[in-house]
Amino acid sequence: MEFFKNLGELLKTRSDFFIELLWQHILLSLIAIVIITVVGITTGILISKSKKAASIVIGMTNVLYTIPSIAMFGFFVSITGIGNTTAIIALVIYGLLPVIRNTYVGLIEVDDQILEAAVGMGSTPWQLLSKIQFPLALPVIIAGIRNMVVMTIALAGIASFIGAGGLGVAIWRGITTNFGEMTVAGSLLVALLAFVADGLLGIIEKRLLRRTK
Amino acid sequence: MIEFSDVSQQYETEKPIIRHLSLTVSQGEFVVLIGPSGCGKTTLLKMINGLILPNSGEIRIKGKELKEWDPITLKRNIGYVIQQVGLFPHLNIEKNIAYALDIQKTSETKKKERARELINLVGLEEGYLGKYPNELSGGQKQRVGIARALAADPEIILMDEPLGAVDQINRAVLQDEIIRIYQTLNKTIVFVTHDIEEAIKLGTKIVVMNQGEIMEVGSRDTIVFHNKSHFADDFIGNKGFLSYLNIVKIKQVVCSFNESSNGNTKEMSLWVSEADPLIVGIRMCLENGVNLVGVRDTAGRVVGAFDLGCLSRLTF
Amino acid sequence: MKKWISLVLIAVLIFLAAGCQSEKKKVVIASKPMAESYIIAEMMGQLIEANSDITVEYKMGIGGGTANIQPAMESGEIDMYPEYTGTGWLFVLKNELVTDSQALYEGVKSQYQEKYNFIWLDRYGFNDTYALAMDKTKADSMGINTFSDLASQSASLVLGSEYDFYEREDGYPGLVTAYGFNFKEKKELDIGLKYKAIGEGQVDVINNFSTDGLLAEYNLKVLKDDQNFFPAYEAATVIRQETLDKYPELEAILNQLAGQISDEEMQQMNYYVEKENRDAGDVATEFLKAKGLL
Repeated sequence: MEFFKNLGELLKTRSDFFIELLWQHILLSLIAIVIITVVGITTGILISKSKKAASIVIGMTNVLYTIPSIAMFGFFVSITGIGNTTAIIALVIYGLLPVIRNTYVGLIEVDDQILEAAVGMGSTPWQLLSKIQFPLALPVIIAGIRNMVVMTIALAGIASFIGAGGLGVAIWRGITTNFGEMTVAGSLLVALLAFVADGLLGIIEKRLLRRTK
Repeated sequence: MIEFSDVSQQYETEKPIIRHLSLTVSQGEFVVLIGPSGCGKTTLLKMINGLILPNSGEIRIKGKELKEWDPITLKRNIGYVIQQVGLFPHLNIEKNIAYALDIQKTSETKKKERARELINLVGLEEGYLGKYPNELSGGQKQRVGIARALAADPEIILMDEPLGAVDQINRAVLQDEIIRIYQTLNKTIVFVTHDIEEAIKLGTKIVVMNQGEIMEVGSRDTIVFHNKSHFADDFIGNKGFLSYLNIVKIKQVVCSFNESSNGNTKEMSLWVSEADPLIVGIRMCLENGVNLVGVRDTAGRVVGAFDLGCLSRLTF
Repeated sequence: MKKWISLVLIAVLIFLAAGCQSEKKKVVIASKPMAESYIIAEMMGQLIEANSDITVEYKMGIGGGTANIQPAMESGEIDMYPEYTGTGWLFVLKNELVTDSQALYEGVKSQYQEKYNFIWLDRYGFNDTYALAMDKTKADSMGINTFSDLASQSASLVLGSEYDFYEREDGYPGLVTAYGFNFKEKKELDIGLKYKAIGEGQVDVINNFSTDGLLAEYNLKVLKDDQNFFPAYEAATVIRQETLDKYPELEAILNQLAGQISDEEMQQMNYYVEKENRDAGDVATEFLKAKGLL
């Protein structure tokens, strides 16, 4: 009980500190998320044309995905040094898999007959993709993005380990100075952020998919 | 309108699907391709709009060689209806119908107008325009499929077993609709089916295929009565003949009373309408043990006789 | 769809622009992931900001400590940080052990300048060297006061320590050679979790530092290094020559800390942060004010 009282006190008295970290965390995650979304969806679209390319790319991202996050962060530190840049690179690598895979699967699972009709009517490859395939793949793609967003926000919590900003600073500070409430405060805010982000995406998802049947 | 000259098609190491096939389709014809599974009828159809390319031979569409057509333009000039319809689930009916116009960047007003026009043409109410495909029945979906194929007003329409997935009752209704649309619009239609009755009912020109070759080409009269091909004969068989009797109207075979065996109007007590199919006349004769019955037109006026003897002397 | 894409792109551009900092006077101070480091780094930063118009950016708690800070210093990502003479001499320069603390400081200072063009400023005054600690009651009952005592009874005890310690020549391996330790079990723990571990009885002996704040908290006895195995780990600021060239005033500002912090004072400040969970920055400010430096 004492713990939670202290936790509350901490959040109140150091609110500036936490708000600054929250802001950094949002920024860090957001940059990674935008890059992942653009690169991931584009890659997913490109590999949907070729089964061979698809298996290579998805195989690769699969392997990268299984590397423990701390190892990934640590590896990049030796290449791009400490700080936000490295953190973003590592976050992007992790975030790519769900987005690429979902984009790919979403696109190839569109009904053959629908594609045949669209092609038979004289759609250009771009029209086929933008008017038919992509809109129909959207539910799956968005699910992948939601997944990725939550994961990225959580993972960004580890980024402070290599000198990046964000709520991980509080978490790490708490761990290294034997300050439990600080650790929990940081973790709680990360979870809250992830929760809110997921909720927002849920609303956007509903809006976008309202017209897709 | 469409010309195939010595066309062959096969996929690399597989058996030939089309062998040295030649065929001409003239403007305004309703050509039905029929044959057993694997005879190549769908492949033949898909070579018309370039979905499948021939390995050898020449194909001309509207006088221009297939090779010289831009593939996209070619497809946009030909309507395409498939068995599973393939309506776009994320677009409403109006947008589905107008799709061919949309990809050619037509104005919103024109698209809306055309959609309204076509949905009426295929026998559905305008209220359907706002609905989505998943709200429609199978038969309704295919009506929309046909409307969609007509959107850009192509001269040629291809239909690949369009009624295959429709239930029996609706199929008859839709067949009549297709005939009606054909007669209204005067398009050139190439229609694939495996149903002999359907072929006889719909086609002005029927093409019987087997193993990538054409066995017989001709009007329904030719196909049923004057087959040169043994295969076609067998394939069409009695079923085809029966269909024929169900389709062809008495009007086509009316004899004058002078020609008939017993020509006295006053003694006629049995009458059929010239709009009835042959089978009605035959049945009436057999049921009543007579050789002939009288024929009236739809207004009730006497036009002649339906005479079994007369019938056999006719050369279709 | 197009509307969404352009909105997102605009947002990204705004954020990136915000991230790009204009040409301001700025230095970056790093710290290792431990309370003592946070405190000293804060002192450095606060002195700089109070006595100049230079802005300070902190990169606190770099995971892996020196291992990741050194390359960042070399690449210029970090301008300065608090370091220990022993660490610089043995871990970075990879030299042989030197027991005399003055010689060690002078040696590390001249070699850092020569090799990296980094400058060691004046020492703060405390020696945070390696120590071994045991629960006081247990140590007393077993009659253990020195490292040698510990060695003779090590077979029945469990040692808990961090990765660095097990790997460094001046750490566990060296100790074993000098004293003949033979622990029943060796557990690898993160620096921040060692005290918890010994407090909960998961390990019997931990290596710690002579200025640890939690010493009193957990009732631990620091054992005597009777053979003087561990070298000196006197703390001082290591700063890039380039940074000093750019802002020469930094030298005088930072050397205000020279000789100001004793072992006890450091231990006390560590206690405030680690036990009382006070903010390192506040503790640093309090100390500086008390010394009249702020």
